[in-house]
Amino acid sequence: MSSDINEIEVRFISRMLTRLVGEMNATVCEQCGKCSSACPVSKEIEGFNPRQLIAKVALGKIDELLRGDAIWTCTACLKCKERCPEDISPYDVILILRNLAYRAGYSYPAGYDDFIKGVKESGFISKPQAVRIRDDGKISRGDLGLPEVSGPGDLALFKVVIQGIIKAGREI
Amino acid sequence: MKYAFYPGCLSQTEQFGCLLSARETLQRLGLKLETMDGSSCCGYQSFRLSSPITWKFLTARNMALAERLGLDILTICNECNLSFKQVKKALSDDPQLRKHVDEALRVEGLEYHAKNETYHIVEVLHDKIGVERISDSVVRPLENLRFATHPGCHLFRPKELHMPDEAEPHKLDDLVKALGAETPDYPGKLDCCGSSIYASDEGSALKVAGRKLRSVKESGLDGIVTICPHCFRMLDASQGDLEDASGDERLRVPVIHYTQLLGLAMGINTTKLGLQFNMSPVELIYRL
Repeated sequence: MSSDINEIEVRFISRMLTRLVGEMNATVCEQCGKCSSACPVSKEIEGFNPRQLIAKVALGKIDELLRGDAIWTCTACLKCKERCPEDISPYDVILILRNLAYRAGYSYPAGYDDFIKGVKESGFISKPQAVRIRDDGKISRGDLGLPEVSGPGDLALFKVVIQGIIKAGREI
Repeated sequence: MKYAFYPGCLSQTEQFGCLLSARETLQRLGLKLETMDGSSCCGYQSFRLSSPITWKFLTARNMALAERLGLDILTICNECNLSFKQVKKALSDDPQLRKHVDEALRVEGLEYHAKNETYHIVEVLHDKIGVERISDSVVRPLENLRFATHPGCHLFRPKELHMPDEAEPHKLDDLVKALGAETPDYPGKLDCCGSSIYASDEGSALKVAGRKLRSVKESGLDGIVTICPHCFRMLDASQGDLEDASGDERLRVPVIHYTQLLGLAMGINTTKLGLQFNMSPVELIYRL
């Protein structure tokens, strides 16, 4: 994939993030671990731990995080944010790391690209599918008497607008 | 009551049981659902990661379409609802963002003036139609059934956005009780189903879903009632994959969308409610 930002920018943003979380750590995060004990993913997936993730950011180990799987394992349930006595949000830090990993062209899950492709092609994350039923067979929207999905109208214009706003986002 | 109906990607393209049952029951309860011609993905699942501004633009575009109809939005998806609420706030807080979004909207002749509200189906059922009227619509009370309710994270988090069910969610429970069933508490009720990482890390998503299913099974409840198409798909359709992955057949548990359950209590036939699409053994509920 192409990248929006170069290595120098990644290093710059990483330093900013480390400083930001470092300040939070020094003044507010006591590594109490309420986030990790609340996290429904930590209970099932070894190696996913929001408290450690915050500690790693504070220690400047951003590159390790960007190259690892952990940032892609958070389900964005927001329980860590809800439980933090100091109002720190591991979830928001993970979102920043995901965005950074994506923009810098590090590896990221392929599923997300399929959604983007789907929206550009049909307005939705995928085209309507013929769907499996519990007994054998498949049924489509038409079979159900449901109206056609009303897409974004002029698809060519829609695509132009999307490309334009993506470009604007890169330049901000 | 008339709304701009915004089902979201998942129920439009594959989770037809959620779409069919929501349309059927809401219309029978007297709601008018206006189709939003020209609508698209809200951007939450597709662009939030790679291009946050494109996510916000797509949500704003859908709000602008509803504004043109002069209607508030009714969505049946927890994620879309979160997206609408987050973006509305972002647009009011950030004039620079608003400027970029307005410019892009103008290309298609659209305008956004923050005039309308977005309501999640739980708010419409519980707060607008009301539990009493829903109770009155029941012709086949669901007596002797005990369900695990799964409201879904983004029905009540994050608290600063004043989500449809706030910090101590009870509305889905109230709505299930209105049909005559019980909703006992169970461990991990407010925990995530794992759905948001299904596209990126299926193995981990299945483990998180398995934890929930195990808890419901061990609590001896008759099934899971959820109201978000994403949670519904994760808990319902993943049971086969989970069984394959763990060899554990005991994780089979009926999963039903709330409007399917409501429809059963209203006496609507199962095909009209899309119950043929549920992959979990949902007939255990309606053959009781």
